[in-house]
Amino acid sequence: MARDLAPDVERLLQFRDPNIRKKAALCSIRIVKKVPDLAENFINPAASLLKEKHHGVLLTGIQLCTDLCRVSAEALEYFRKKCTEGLVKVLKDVVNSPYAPEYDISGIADPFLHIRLLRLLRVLGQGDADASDCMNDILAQVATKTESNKNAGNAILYECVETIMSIEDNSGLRVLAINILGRFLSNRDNNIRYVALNMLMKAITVDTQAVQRHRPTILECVKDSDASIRKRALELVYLLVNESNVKPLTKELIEYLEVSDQEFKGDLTAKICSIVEKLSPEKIWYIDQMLKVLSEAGNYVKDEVWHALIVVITNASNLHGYTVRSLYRAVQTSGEQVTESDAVDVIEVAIKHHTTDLTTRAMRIKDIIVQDKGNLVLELQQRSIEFNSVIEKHQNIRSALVEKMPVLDEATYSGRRAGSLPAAVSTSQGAALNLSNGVAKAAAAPLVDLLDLSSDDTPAPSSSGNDFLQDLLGVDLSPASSQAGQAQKSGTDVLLDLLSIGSPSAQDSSFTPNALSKSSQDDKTSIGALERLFSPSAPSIQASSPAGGSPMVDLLDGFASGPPLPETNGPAYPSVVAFESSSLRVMFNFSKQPGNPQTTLIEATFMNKSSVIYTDFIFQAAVPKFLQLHLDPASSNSLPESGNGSITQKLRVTNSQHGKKALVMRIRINYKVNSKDTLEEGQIGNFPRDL
Amino acid sequence: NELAILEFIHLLVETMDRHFGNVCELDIMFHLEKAHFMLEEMVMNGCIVETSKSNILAPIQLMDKAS
Repeated sequence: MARDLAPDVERLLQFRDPNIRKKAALCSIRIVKKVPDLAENFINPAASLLKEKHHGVLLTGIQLCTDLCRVSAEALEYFRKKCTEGLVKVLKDVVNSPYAPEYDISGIADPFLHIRLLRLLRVLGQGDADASDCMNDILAQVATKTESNKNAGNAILYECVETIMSIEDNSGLRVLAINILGRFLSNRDNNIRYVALNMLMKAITVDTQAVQRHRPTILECVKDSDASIRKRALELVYLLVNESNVKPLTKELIEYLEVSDQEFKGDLTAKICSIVEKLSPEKIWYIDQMLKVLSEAGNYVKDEVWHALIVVITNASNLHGYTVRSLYRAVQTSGEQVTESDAVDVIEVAIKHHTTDLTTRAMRIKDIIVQDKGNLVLELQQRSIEFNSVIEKHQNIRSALVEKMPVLDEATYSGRRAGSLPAAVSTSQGAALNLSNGVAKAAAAPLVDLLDLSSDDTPAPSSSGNDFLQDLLGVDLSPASSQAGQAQKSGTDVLLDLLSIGSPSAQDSSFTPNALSKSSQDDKTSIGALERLFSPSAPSIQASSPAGGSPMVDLLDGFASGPPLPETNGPAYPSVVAFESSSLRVMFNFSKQPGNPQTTLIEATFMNKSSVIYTDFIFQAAVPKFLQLHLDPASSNSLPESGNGSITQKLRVTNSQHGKKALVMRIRINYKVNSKDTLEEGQIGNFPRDL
Repeated sequence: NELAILEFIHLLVETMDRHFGNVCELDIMFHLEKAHFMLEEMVMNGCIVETSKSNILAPIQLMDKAS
């Protein structure tokens, strides 16, 4: 239909009656939008419309031209060449026209026409230097002469600024434009400020310098009472930040953070954190700022930010002392409200820095721990009991446990950002020590010791209870690398493997709650309970970290008390096929230690029945209440195919109901076939009766 | 141009004021179709076509006279 009517409409564009012409022009716009091919026909009549006297027709004529230019490049060229001067002249007339009651709006004759003309000039001038040159004068005139105390004037100025920004580079005009925007910013009217901020955001890409000049005003806007202005201003500030002004800017933002209201805080914290992260000139400053942010708005800071912070801290070893001191101050000042994460920071960093005397610290730590034994929080108790036992019993082993926490490699760390395990482990341990901080005053003193660092160098290789925490942390954070195959001291070797086995995987919940509930008793039995915990059947991550801690205890217990594993066998028992599936066979060989009828040593052998090699082979086992189980590290974690090799793993089971009940065990095996995870589970009930 | 729209709303109200004399919601309610006519005169196809109050009100006054 458009095609049919087009010639008619064209004719009408030149009709006598201005109203008709007006409507015809509008109609043409519609047609051109629908059928861009017809645009050429309309170019000429449209050009003539531009010479109209009647404002209405002029308006629509301009509109038609703008749309024609948008639709067809040819039209654009034509108008550029022919009509730019004409347009400029029209604009000049309108600007300079005397008071006309007809079109007057608050002192300006027909602002709408102004705006339309400016818009068309913008379209014509974009990308074309010549056209832009023509317009410069008139733009300058409009920009300077228009009164801005009325909204109409402001509207025109706004359009003018937008036009200046879009046409070819002209620094003088640009400066003028940005000054106008600056004026807008200090205007009390919210609308105008909003509009100005929007415009400035676009302008930043073009000319950053000029915008920097208005930085203080923009900063003011961040604190404005109007929410949308605040948001815009914050985004603008974020865009404006660069190395030179990052310090004062962040200082201001952090000050504001203290007084801002809830919804805004989230945004603000996120922005501050990203600024600080990207542009911090020195690490020390970075850590400073982050601590301030954390103390103000810890809740809003996302996890990734925490991790990044921790990574940075660990990598900047020379700053550790400083960090720890400030962290401690922060912990102190925020008192009860210290979040787990804060404590995690404290602990992690503190761990690396113990240069104080081992024994004094051990004593003090003992104090905390003794106090915490009575604590009702289960987690805390477990922790304190573990620590206690380690300190008391395992003096001789401790040195074997020493291992400096590997400085977190930033790259791998950021790769593991999504990993919840490190955070979880740290969190649960942090919670323990944090609560201990809050629980007893005396706790403050030891922590002070820990934090009291005169020299911030590498930690002395002396061991302490905290060392193994560090080990746990260090090890847990890289279980992938720690899986079998590390040629280290046997203690740590076992530790690593145990912990990697202890990674969270939901297992029979029936085994664990029993174990957990038992641990709220005194030393000896709780150690036993902890040992029971050690089947890696932790259904939750929280539980898995005690499981992470206790295997060590178990192991140490085993080392300290009993003879090491490769010992004489007792009476011989037949070996059984514990578990067999289409792709795997597990055989158990039994032996007993002579002096210990309750404890059975099992050597498990795994064989691959398929023709594909298995990788990341992990064996886990769970036992009921009356049994205790230890797992030693496996000989390797890749099982060659078709029985070409096998993996062996030693287990130790202690039967408290020896003679009355036989052994039962539930097993779970994880492995990867061609990088696809496979899981096998089973129950073993065919243990020889008198084990 | 947001500020221009603001101006336009002003213009609309002023035109209606000129026509109805001290316009209020009651006027609009009772003479809704007239209000619509006025708006139609001013805006078409999404563009502002007429900004002169006399031009806008002329057809409406004609209509009133005819009825």
